[in-house]
Amino acid sequence: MSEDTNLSRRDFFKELGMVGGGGMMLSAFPWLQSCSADDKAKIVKEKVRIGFIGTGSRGQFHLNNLKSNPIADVVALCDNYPPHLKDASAIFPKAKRYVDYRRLLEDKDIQAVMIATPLNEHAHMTIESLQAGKHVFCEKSMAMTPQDCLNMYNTFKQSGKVLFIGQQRLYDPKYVRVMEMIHNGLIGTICGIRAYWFRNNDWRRPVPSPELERKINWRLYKATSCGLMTELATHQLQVGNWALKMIPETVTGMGDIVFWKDGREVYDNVSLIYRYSNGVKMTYESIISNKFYGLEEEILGNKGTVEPEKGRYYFEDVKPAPGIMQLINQIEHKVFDNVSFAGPSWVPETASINKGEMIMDHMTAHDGASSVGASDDGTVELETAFCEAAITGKPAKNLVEEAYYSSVLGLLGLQAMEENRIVTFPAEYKIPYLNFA
Amino acid sequence: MIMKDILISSKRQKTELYIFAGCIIAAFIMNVISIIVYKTEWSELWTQALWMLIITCGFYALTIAFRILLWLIRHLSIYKK
Repeated sequence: MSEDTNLSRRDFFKELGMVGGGGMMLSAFPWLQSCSADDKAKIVKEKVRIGFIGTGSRGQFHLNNLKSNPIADVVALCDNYPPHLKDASAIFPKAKRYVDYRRLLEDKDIQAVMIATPLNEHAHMTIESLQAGKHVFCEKSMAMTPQDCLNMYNTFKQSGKVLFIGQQRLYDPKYVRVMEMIHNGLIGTICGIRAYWFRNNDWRRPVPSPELERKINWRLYKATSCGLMTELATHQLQVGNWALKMIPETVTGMGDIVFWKDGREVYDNVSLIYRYSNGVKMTYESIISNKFYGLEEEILGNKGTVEPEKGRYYFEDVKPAPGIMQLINQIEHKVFDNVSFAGPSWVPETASINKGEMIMDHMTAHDGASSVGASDDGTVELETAFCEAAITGKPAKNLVEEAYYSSVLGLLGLQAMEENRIVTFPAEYKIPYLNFA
Repeated sequence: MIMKDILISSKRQKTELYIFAGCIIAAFIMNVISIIVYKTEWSELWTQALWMLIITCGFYALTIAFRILLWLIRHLSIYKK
């Protein structure tokens, strides 16, 4: 489901009042400022030479975006599954083809790599790529263990190279706008966050022959995936931290395979509570056998509520219905409520239904059904920012930290569910950022 | 077929105008009272003008219904005599 039209990156920045050096957002969203106006002017005719590793559905989604990106040039493609490599070659016919990513990393012509492989490949591929002197874009979530996430972070810090993780909400105009509103106090003090992602599909891809089941449907098996927590929850946990400017300290929850009992090993039904040090809780729920509520992060403040995915905000104190309408309504109730046989009357009900306000004039909302990617969800902006950063060599400030904590929190949530206990954020995995600085 | 002119006397026109004006005043007073009772904004005096007009028409329709009823009762009583 998609409503309204495209919003170009330039329009997005214009909407935010950043074109021409609007400085209010500088401190709040430093990753958006990784490429200054001067840098943009300098690199306008440059292209970053990209090697792309992992050309499955998400990989091809990126490749199709990069095809129309004027500062990106995909010069190499790598996949160990021939049909995917063939499909990707149709998008970039001139790109060299590799089956082994190590050969791709040996290619000196490649400045940057983009990784869209199964989760279990992220950590070692990212680390080896950074060590090979490449700038790296790696899909979320970062890795399968907190230690691997930390290793990725440490390698990034030591390398001096650019690392981007695919947390596209950091570049999604409506999320940026929502965070601007929240941090300016529009909804008052945040008292709670309710995040959820509901779908109704089995998450399976067609498999040409049985021996390819675990390769194609890698998301369903514990050796290659952490399921809903790394595929969906990481996006939304990051939103909670972004809104609160804090990292939660404890998490507990329960997970089960409730509906899709088809041999999969990862949960299809999870429910968790993350607790921040100020007592605020973020509840998280994901079910993939009912899609009615779609996806959302409901951020609840004492003055209002925002729903960034729908792009709406709601004030607590709603303007009452006009006096004359209230009077008519009261008369109607006095007359008809005492008539035992009377059904609903003709008089319109004037109790206020809070439909909220749109946060932006031009925006796109999604129902979260696609497991490949949605248009206008910040992905194109994220890819462009990566290309700019790879050309200038300047990493996006705080982007990796945001991604690191959302990845680790997803994994700690999984640990809490598997061990059926409250898990406290381990001190050894805290990196200097926000309340853990 | 020749259409028959309906003649409304100036006295009847004046009466109807007075009744309609009375309905407007009643609707206005109702709006003022509701603003005071429900503590809403005084700007509703003009922002709710459409509702006031609808209520005025409603009141006027009620007066017509009431007068038809009176007329019927009166005629029935004359007929019985």
